[in-house]
Amino acid sequence: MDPTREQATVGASGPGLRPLNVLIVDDSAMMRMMIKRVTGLCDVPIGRIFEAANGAEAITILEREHVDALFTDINMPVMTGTELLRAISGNPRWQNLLRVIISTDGSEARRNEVAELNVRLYVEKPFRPEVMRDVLCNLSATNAHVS
Amino acid sequence: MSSAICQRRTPTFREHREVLQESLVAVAQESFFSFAEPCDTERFGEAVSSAEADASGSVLRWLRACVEFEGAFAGRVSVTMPHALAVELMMAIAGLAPEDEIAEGHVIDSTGEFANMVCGTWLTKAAVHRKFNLRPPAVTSVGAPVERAADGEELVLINDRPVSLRLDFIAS
Repeated sequence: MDPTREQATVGASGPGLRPLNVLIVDDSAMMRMMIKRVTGLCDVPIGRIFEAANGAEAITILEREHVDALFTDINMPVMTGTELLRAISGNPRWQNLLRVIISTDGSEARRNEVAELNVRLYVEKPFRPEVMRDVLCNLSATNAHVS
Repeated sequence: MSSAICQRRTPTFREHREVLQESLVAVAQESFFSFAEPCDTERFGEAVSSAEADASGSVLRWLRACVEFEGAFAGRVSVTMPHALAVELMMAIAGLAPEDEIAEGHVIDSTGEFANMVCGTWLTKAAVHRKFNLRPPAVTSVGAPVERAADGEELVLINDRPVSLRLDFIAS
């Protein structure tokens, strides 16, 4: 697959908020499509949306593009979400990257494992669209502060 | 029983199946915007007949998605549904309209993700303190499931269409 694919700007253009560039990492194309769709429904300014099917593709995109928020699944082939977070952890280049886990695995054991990897939010699948709206509002407000 | 299995004792196989069924209902309703409910063998049989009638004389196609997991315990969750329902669920999660083009690859991907979410949701409820790894889902075409609940199998209707759900533990 082409890791450079991206979608045009979506979402509302709220005053005073810089649009978020988002990277969605999930091995399911349909789940990426669903997250994109829900993201577009939220009243939060969204800039570019990038997609990757695993952690390795995500790193390729992160090295090339400016990404504000990373949404990643955990269980993926090639490179898992946890491995991705470890790989970018501690690198000053991505110190302001907002990291969100979107996974069916909501176990305490998994949450504890990623707790030290600078994960801002943990969203369990299945989730309702309003959960994603709240996540984006949270990230957008945070992004405004770090910009 | 409650949606979370009591951690003070080892859950029974029956309890695991019930929580698995609850997980499927939650996934169908929350992420696939569909109506799901447990059913008995009689309603399941009626739904199979109805699905066969909808197939207009052609052989009814079924898809089975299997997700293997390993961790504190290991096993496999299998979800079997008519192909027509798999298409319906894919359109729901992707937000497609009836006139949109349907790619078979997307149907397979969506069916696998459905099973993946059911399995992950169940494991989180069943063993919240334990960590599991899920393998990528395997989706295949199969014959019709037996029209009654076999051991380890639960029957569910999603949008009035028949779905069977099976749990197998694998000795490690």
